[in-house]
Amino acid sequence: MLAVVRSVVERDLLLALRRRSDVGTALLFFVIVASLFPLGIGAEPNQLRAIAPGVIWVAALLSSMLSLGRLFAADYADGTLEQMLLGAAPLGLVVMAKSLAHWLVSGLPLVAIAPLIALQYDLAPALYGVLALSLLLGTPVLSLIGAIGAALTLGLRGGGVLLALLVLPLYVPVLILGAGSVEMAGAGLQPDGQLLLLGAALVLAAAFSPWAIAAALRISME
Amino acid sequence: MSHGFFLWGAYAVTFAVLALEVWFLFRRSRRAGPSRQIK
Amino acid sequence: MNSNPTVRWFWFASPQTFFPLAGTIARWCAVGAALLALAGLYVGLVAAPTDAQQGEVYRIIFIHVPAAWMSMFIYLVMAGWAAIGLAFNTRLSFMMAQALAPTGALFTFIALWTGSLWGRPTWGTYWVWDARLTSELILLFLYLGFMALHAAIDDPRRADRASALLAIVGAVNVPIIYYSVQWWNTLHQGASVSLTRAPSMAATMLTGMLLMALAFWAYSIAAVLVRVRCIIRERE
Repeated sequence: MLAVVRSVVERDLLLALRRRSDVGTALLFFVIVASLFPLGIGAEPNQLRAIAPGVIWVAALLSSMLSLGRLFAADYADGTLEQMLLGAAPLGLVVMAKSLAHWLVSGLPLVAIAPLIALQYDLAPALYGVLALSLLLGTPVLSLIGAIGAALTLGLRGGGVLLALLVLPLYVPVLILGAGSVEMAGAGLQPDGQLLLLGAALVLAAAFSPWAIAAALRISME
Repeated sequence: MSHGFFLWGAYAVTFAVLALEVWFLFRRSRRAGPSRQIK
Repeated sequence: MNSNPTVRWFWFASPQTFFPLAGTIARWCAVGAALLALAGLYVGLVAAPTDAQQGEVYRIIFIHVPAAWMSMFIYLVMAGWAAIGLAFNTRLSFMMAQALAPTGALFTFIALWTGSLWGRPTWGTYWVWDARLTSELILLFLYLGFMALHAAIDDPRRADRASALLAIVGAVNVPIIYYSVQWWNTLHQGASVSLTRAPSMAATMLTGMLLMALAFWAYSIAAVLVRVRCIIRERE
């Protein structure tokens, strides 16, 4: 079982490495979006500090969503996806591995870049830890839930925007918990509740979404 | 603005929206034509 | 064949047999809806007393609350039909889900519209980021997403099944979304109190709301069944 996961993850990482620009663009998007808000709202430091958690989280949501299109598209185009559906390995396992690889490449870097954005917003350094942790717990959930949407909209015209419409409402709880945890910490309170709930969300998503993603893939591909 | 405005606005739009739904449904009904396969 | 319980159970699963039944039920429910609405409106607009704090404007709850209830109830029913469709592979179940969506979305819109108009004279702004309104807004997005996904797929079978899966995923998320928004709302208490805190419920007010809720329910059944008949005609 683990061998399947390893081989799928390795393959996807290798492919992502070959298309570095695709990966880089999504991350760049994250930075650009976060930079837009001060330009639109004004650079008043107190205001920026107040909106920083929300802005960073929204940017993470949008960036994650943009990169979802890549999750199944390439395999769908060259027929590999069909092989995965027909293959011996349980589809749930395969999609879980693909989501993991996707997260490693599109979600995990956000965790690393976020403190830089936080710097731009003059967020108190003490909050960097909570911010990073919330993103660390939350971005995998985004990848998993987003993968359901990606599987449902496989090959559809207008796919990217439709994917956004489908997936963003489902992202709302993660956004609320994630940004909320940082804001709690910023107010001097303990963010434990939100972080634990995020962890719970991650466990639930990891447990149930592979089934949903696999079902969605079968629906899209039959 | 008098409170009556909001009250009427709420009720009027509600019934207008529901009436629109009914109207569109009947239009769709007529367009679909008589059913052919009802045994 | 008639003694086979499985066949009996699925007797109305055929669009052909369901068609006339739907028509009958729809007619009765339409009449019922009209009567219930008259009763509800009488109670709401005439019989219920004026509120001490909010005056006459509070009468909006006789539409706002039942509409919100219907919007959530219809979504659950829609997800239920979606699940049945996926489990038993019955065309009609998917058609029912399709038929429910527009009515559900409309009630969500009505809940939002009336909530907004209630908020303006009561709390000062047209939009209040309270837990119910915000959840209703997200529910509207879920309905629209369902309809958009179905419309975007050409193959009817894939469209049915994909939107069905989406409906179920959405349904699982609705309570999560609701509670997270509620928590978010208590955190950002900046804005006012919740719109859901209607004036303390006099018995007549509760009666009015229940009557209107039943009226909306009967109306929904009628509208949805008429729509599913159209869908049956269009597809079969």
